[in-house]
Amino acid sequence: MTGSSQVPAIELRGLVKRFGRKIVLDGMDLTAMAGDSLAVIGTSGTGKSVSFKCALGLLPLDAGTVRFAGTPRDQLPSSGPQALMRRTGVLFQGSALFDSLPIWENVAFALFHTGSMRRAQAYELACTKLAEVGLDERAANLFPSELSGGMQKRAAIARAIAADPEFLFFDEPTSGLDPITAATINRLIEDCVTRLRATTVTITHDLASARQIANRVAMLHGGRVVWEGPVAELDRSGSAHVEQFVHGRADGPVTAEPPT
Amino acid sequence: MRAWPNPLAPIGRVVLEFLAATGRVALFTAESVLAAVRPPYFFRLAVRQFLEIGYYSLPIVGLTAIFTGMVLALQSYTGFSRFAAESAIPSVLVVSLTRELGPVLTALMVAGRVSASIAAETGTMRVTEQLDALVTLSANPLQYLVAPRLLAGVLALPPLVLIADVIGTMGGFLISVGKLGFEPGIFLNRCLESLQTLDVVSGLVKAAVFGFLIVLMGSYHGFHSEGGARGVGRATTNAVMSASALILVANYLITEAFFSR
Repeated sequence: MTGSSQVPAIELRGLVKRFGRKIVLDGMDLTAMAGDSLAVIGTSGTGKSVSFKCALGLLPLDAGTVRFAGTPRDQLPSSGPQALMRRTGVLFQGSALFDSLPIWENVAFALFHTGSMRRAQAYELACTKLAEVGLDERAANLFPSELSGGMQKRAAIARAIAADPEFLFFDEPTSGLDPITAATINRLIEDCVTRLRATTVTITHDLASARQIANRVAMLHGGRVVWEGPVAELDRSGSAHVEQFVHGRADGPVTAEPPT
Repeated sequence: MRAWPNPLAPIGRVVLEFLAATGRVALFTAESVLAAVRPPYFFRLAVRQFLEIGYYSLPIVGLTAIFTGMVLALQSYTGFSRFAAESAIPSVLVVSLTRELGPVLTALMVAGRVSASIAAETGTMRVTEQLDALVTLSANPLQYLVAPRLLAGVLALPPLVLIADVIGTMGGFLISVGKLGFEPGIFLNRCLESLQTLDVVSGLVKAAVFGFLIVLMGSYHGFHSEGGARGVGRATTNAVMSASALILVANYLITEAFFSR
């Protein structure tokens, strides 16, 4: 799946993020080439979601650079960050659907509320995207609180892919779901990634998810990437960290999240 | 050698924290006002917020106003009858309602209802990553959430205060005519004779400023809430407290600007 372009589609270099005295990211480096589907794995509290938010500019960095298609985020022109977001689709851990809007307005939000698309056209597009994730028109007119957790995840995926983005970010797409629904969501994400040919970064601690969605895997520990390689090499990585994580052992170089 | 704690250090910490908080609020205010004047404009949301802040506050504002007017008439009568100055009741009633009690009590009631609601809603959006989702969907949360509410707050409070002034005066009228023996025509004439344009205008200016402060405090505390349900609860309490305090401070400053000699 790796693209032929020499410029990485997403590049994180030397990311440092502190919360008070706690260093969460400690010089993290990560690269995804165009068309890559990269899964970032690691134990809870290791900085996976923080790196995701730093990459998207939702949290300010203490040091380091984030580049999209070779351009540093902080050197984009004034309209650049918004333009970049229009090329980016994001799925949040808790779906983050807007409670006050029906599902179709959630899905078509970027096109209808902040874009120039007319209501009828936006509704039609939302229904098409919802159909792609297995939700019918009845769901389009419901509010998020009226959907199950799995359906909310589907709707949030529909929102993430609504503008056919070049970059996709998924934060724990299967957390809180039963194994069958999780497998369905994984397949859905795999289909979307293949169809859109988007460069995808998925934050997860679910190995089944990583194996199904990704072609490359990076393991984060202590605020740094300790191993990165093709998903096929996950079981013969030669890294003690990865081995412990893959086999779910309590003993090894990775310790459970310390109390803060 | 043991170092003694500096007794001034806690005071210094409080002062520094107060200055930092003031700076954060000032920055948030400037960013929100800038967001409100820059396109895109969300007029549909502003209309919805106008109804939410103005129309749905009418029952509580009306109730507050009518009983305030009634109590004011009774208390004025008790006091003024000692000096045989009962005839001044209509003037005192209408002037104190339009200048002070109408705007301040209306704003305090709306602050309790609207500041809390905005802080809770925005705070929940913060802790459930909906504010982050807005950013990733190319929307500026200040433009989408704060600007329409600011506009609605500034526009909704003046008519609310005007209605409160009328209902409050009617409350005073009911007690004065029904219980204190005033002639209806004379009472209303005295009210109109005593009232000056500046009384009404100053009340409406206060209302617009209070509307701005109510929305600003609700939004600020909601945007900065953290730590789940407990954080949202704290943001809601802080929003109502700070909005109420700022209303009282602003009331003094505007009164000073309009009526000091």
